[in-house]
Amino acid sequence: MAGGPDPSQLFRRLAGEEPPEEFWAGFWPSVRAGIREAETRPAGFLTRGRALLLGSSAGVMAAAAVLVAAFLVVPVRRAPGPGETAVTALPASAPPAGETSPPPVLEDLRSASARVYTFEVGGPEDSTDVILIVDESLDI
Amino acid sequence: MDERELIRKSQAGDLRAFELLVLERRGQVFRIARQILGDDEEAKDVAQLVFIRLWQSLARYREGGSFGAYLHRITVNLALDFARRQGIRERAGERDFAGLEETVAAGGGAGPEMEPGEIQRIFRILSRRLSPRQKAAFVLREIEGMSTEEVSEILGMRASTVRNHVQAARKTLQEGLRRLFPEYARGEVGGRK
Repeated sequence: MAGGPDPSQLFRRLAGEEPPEEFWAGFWPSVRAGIREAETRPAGFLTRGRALLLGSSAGVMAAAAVLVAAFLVVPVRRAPGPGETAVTALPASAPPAGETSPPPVLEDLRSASARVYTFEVGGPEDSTDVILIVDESLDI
Repeated sequence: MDERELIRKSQAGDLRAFELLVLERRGQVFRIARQILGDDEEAKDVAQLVFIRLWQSLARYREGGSFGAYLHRITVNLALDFARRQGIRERAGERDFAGLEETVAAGGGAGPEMEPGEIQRIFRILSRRLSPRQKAAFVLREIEGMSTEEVSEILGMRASTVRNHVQAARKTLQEGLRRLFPEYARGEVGGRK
């Protein structure tokens, strides 16, 4: 640093700088309002970061839809490997002659190891169901 | 009422005590945020967020620890987060001195009677070349006059890393002063050095 201006010495003068009193007008009321707002949120509900992560209800539903679609599409026609759970696909078929039955099921996929979790997120007036399907046997 | 008493009462939910704590500390919180963000109104917004966050997290503060370090850690984190989201450092043409020359020319150089507002403006211009961590380390260590250990605690980095950041920041700022404010570098500014 030899031979040049000393930035530390120059900018240290900023330490004592205080804005005029009128600059602070409304400061405490805003802080207090922010505190009240934070306290009136449902207990343990979203922090700002989590709120950003979750985003809109539409986004959550879209994510849930992708999960559901992945579950429904991926396992079709894949033979189960060792230790994997069989996925049963029922072929579309007409009922035996003479029997009356409800309309045929075109495709019914089941997995014994799949678990479905439904979470309700959001406040009382803006709640959304997030559906999470977990199946460890799927190789996505 | 001393600060420890204010903190204890605030932790018990006393908003009046917390208001006094805010009055006591808002100036320094604002200054730190301002040096990091380079904008008074943004710094004021961040300072408000700092005290809201402080109120929410005050129960976790344990007496015996440095309250200043606790508060300043919140301040620096929120200010850096705010700066990141605003993309302040990425604004076009501000990452090298060539890009800053127009900014300096628009506002004039350092005059012979440099006012505190002028020093603020120079720092705002030159510090755009610092990384967020360099800037935070320089502000806390060199402007606010904290010890390297305090800065290390606030920024969550080793003392040696703090020293490196401060040294790098000083070098960059010195080069900027030479190139963009040569009148200062030649000692023409009254009362400097």
